[in-house]
Amino acid sequence: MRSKLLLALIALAAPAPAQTATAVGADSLHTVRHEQYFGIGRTNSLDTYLSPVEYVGPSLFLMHRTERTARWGKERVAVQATYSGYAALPRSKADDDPAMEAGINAAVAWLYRFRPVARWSFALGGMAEAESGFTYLVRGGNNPAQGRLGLHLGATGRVVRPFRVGRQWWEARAQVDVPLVGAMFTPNYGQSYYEIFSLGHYDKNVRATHPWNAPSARLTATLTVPLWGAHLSIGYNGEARQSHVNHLKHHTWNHHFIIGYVRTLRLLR
Amino acid sequence: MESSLHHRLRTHAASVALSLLIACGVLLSSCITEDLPAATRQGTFQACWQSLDEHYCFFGEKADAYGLDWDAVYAQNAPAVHETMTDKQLFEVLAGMCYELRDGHVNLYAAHDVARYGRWFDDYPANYADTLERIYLGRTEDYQTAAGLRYRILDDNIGYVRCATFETGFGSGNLHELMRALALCDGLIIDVRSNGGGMLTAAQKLASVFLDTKTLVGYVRHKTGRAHDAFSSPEPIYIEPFEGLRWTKPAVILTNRRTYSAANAFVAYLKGRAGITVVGDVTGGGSGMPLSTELPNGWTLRFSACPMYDAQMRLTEEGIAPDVHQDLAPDALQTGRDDIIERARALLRQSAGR
Repeated sequence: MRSKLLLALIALAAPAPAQTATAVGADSLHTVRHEQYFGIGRTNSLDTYLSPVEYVGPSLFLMHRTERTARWGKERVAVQATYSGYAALPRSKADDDPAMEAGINAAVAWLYRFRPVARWSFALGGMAEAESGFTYLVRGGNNPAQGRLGLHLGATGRVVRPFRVGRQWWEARAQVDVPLVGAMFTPNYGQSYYEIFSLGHYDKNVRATHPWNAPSARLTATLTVPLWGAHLSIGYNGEARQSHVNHLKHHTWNHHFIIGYVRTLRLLR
Repeated sequence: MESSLHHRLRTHAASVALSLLIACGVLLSSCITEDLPAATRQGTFQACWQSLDEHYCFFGEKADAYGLDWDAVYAQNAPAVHETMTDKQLFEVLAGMCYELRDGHVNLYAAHDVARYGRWFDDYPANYADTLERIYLGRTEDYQTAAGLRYRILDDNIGYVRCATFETGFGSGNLHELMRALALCDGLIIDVRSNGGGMLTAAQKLASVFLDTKTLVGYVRHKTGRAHDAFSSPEPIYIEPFEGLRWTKPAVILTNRRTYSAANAFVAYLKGRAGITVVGDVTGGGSGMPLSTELPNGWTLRFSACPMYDAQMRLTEEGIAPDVHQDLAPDALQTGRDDIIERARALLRQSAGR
């Protein structure tokens, strides 16, 4: 068992080997790529169960993403785990009382990597994700908050373009995650949480989701540059979570400027 | 061979790019938004009328009871709204529109005032005075209190429990101790006069003290769409018996016109049960569980959203008649005698064979 233990070397500043064609990639069984981001931006929140008014305000964002090469798939398949969360204090245009909103998301994706053109790395695959969150309005009485819970299967696409700037490798990367089918929790149109949780009355509270009733997506675009012995990454994370089920409309649009670091864990057997 | 490989790779790349474009296209063309009127006077009026039109739950009953026509209410009030009117003038128009629903659960909250319909109690005798309550409960050290319930044993060995609100929950320990303290009484009075309601779960918890088996006490349903008649099928409300000491001897519930909302539900749960008598005035009603929403100008609108019924599927929105009607005497404050409590005591003494 000891022989199977891996000794890890965190190579924060290590330039990627030329054969990986990425600055800080995880294109072999011997590397694991970690990305850690902190973001600040804006959240637009609408939930007609609570109010027909849209709430807009500042939000904070955290994301951690890990990618390694699967032991199957001839080193062409990557396994990616993404964990993210945000918290916002949005306000309506007229009101001084902010709402409170937060959400978390965990996703795992399997990506098939291929390079049709030199220096360009594409990946396409599927993902499974779980998301949860809530919106709380101070002014609500029997409906002060709305909870969210969903499980989805979807598609993921990614493009990576490393390029030289002087003697350094920089990397531009964009990834789109699109939930396609799944299920979500929602009260019915005028149903109270008292009926659902105190009385146990079910009325279409778990609904199937698809792009026509819950068009949602996440785009993460980053530029990673070597800096002072580390790999600094800056970019944009945009996420749209939407649904229109049981005659209730919901959207959370997050726009975050993100900054973080990327590191590659080199595994030595 | 190599040419074929390159061709396949280019096809792959094109597929990826196309997929990403389609994904972005679907998203960008599928923003889910709500068309909300602007935060103008006209927009706020429109949003208020529309919110009630889409969510209020008693249009059918009100139309049958007094001919409410919500479209006519719009036509009647819309001309009064103009952009140069003040906040208070707009509030008056919206409040007047809300009053057409004759529902104590329909409220408009602005910074300067709360619109509330009050004819369901203003037009009737109060039948309650805290001055009299103080006489019966005595000084602070004379009665006990548990989770907001104030109680003592009256001098004819009748237990008296004053329940002024259901806004705070009752712990099982509280109710158990209350029952233990009153266990030797010949009868029990639960006074929910001027109890404006609160949490239905609190009302159910108190009602569970009087039930020996899991009991069907009512029904509830909710709207499933914007149409006035879009409702779910009624679902039963059951109450499990209290796990601690329960009351099995005769009991009287005291009511007046301000026994409202969750307190009205409490009366609906227990009226007609063996050993339970309701004494006082007709309750205020309020059997629609209220939800809230926001208007474009920031005001809050509350409205009845989920109609509730008693165990016989009767709507109690207009109140519940007592088994024994009793009013306070006009000179009650002078005599210090609460005729409703006295009537209840007489009934309980009679039940006890005294």
